Amino acid sequence: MATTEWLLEQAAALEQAATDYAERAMWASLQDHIRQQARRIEQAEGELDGRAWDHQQW
Amino acid sequence: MKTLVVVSHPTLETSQTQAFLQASAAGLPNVTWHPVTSVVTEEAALLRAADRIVLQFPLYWYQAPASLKQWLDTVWTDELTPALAGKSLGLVVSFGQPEAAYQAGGREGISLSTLLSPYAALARKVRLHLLPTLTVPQFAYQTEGWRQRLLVRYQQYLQLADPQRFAAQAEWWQARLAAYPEAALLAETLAVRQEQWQSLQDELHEMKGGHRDGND
Repeated sequence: MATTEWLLEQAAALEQAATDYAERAMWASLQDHIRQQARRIEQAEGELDGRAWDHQQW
Repeated sequence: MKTLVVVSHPTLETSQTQAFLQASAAGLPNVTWHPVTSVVTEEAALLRAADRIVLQFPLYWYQAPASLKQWLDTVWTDELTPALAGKSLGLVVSFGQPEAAYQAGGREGISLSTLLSPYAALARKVRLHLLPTLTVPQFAYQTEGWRQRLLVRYQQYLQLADPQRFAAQAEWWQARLAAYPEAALLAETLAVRQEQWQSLQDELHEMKGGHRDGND
């Protein structure tokens, strides 16, 4: 999660520094992408854990 | 991929939504912004040259404005359409109601997919690959944050073979970030995380005995 926070901070700093509208929009949207990536990793890890503990597959 | 955006709007010059979308597409390589005209030979050449055709319009009485129908009737001749097979067709549709109004039980009582079904039939007939519609509900009432997200979603819709695929979006971001040296470490970290997600997907795929969920 520390990596996600770091990525979000970087993108937010670039958004703050951008002077062009389209660039600001890009850095703002990138933060959504970072969150989505983090969520997908977490979900995939959760699913792997769940399947590893599935007693029907023991 | 070459994309042709065919814009039909009765008052294009004063439309905030269209001005925003036009500015969002400006500067994108291989994207042609094209308000509908009636010069048939030029239109046919533009369509033939495109890999993706995007029809972009506001809903007027639950349909595209008359200019788009007129354009389709005039330009999409039996002579032209065989040359369009295999291309993709996108729809960018704006409207003044909340998106939730367009569903069974919603205020409008009918879904956008139903209203737009003639385009699905057209795509099927001409053998165009139809993309899910990019909707732009109530542009005038949206927040700045929402509009910023629309800008990027629209750019991806014009540029990506499969705009809804997460792996394709990740590649799009990598290409975008390559132009910003100050974001090099950010881009690299994102790429490493993408690989991590991909290998988790592969592991799950193997665990399921080769069955894909289709969530990539």
